[in-house]
Amino acid sequence: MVRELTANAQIEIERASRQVVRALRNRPGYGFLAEEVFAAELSARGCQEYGAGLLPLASEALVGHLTRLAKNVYAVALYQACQSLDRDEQGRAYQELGCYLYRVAYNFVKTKGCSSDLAEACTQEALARLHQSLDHIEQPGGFLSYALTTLNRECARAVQDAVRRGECGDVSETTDEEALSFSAPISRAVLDCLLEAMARLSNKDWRMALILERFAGFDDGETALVLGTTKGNVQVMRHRALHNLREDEALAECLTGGDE
Amino acid sequence: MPSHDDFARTLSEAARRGGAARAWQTLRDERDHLAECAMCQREITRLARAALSDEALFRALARIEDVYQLDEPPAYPHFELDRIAPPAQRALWRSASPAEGAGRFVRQLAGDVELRVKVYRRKMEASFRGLTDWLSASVTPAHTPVFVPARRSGKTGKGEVLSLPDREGNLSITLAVEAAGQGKAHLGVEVRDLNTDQPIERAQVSLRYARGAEVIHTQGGKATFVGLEPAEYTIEVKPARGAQAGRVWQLTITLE
Repeated sequence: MVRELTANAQIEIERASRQVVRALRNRPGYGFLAEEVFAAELSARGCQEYGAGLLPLASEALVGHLTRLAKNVYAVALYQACQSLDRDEQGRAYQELGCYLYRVAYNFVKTKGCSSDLAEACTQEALARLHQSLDHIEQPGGFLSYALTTLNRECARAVQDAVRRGECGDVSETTDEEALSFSAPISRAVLDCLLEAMARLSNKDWRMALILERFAGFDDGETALVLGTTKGNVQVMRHRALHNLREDEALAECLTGGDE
Repeated sequence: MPSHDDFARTLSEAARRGGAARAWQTLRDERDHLAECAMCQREITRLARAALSDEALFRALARIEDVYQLDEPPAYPHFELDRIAPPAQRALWRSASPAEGAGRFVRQLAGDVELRVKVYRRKMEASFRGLTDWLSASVTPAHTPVFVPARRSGKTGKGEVLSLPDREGNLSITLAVEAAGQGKAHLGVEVRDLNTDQPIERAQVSLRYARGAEVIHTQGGKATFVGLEPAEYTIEVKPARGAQAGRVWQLTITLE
């Protein structure tokens, strides 16, 4: 379907583009393109998509569609700059990419009870690996997703090594609330996911070992009394409960929004 | 909604008097409290994160990043960009000093390159460890059968491949390590002409270690040493013909 781009539609797309770009540029890692340049590029792409009948003009849908488009536009620009022979431009692109990745790495390693130094190390390593594989990237629009996948591999490996060396604490014992809290309130959907997964655990005592510690504030001795076992076994039960939850694919799908 | 202390007290009583089944039922009955109490939300968040595998956790974080809800780090580091310089700008190989080379044309790895491979006993996995940063980016997983003779001879697990091109010497040596079980590993050496990317045939590849030595001539540019124990090994590659004939490439690799 081909649509004629009216003056009103163009104004609306330009306005929404500026809004989307402003919001994105507030996020770490999205500062490589100047606001005007970014908004102009996005607006031009938006007008093209409108002409092709792909862009809705309804306010919320328009912003949602332009946001997805903006990430694609930005990823292509960042990818090209990372390949640039201009060292300054390349350097700025990698610094932005580093910030984008570092925030995810920081949240990952904190969840694992490791220090933020590890997040910096694996982000640095991911940047080096990305640089090596730039030539193999076939879809620059997916550059940021590709970068996250690379970071995932680096962080998983680094955390595994750090845990083996005893450099990361047990996350269940961590008291750093800032590091462990989601910014948004937990949804009922997440709560349901967890309760259902705990109901699926093959051993009912395992889930109680988790629940009594986390919600009733029981120590291992109190839990051991209720479950009629030893303190040492309570720790084993809790470990097994978490291990089984990690292997529960339905829970992972549910918590990561895989069914959306 | 009961306070968190009241809720915790109810749950404790249920556990002490009615055991695990009653406590579980109490928890489910108090779903509204769990969904709205800040203390419980924190615990559910912690539990949700702890219950995700690394891969799933990353997917979750990427999704949260997408809607801008990740925790903000206190500060962002400045990244060292000299570490992303392409390997072509680095000298990976050097000529050995006359004393080391004893009159021969000998190429050795640069001083900061140390090849160590961790071979896991239980996981059937082998991977390079502690490589210098700019070289570690050249390591790729050995997903496909890299060295078929090793695979034919027995069990193989996960492994990694590392390419070590020598532009000055016009030769590329690629090492592949694959777990062989019980802490042993298969080691593959592939020798190619760097300019033409053709395999170098009949090159002599020798492997020396404390308890002996093995010598294999390349076929299709490849030589494979099977079931190596943890130890330090010196690999020496001597092409028999072509532009590289008469030259020797030496490197040391440690299997841990």
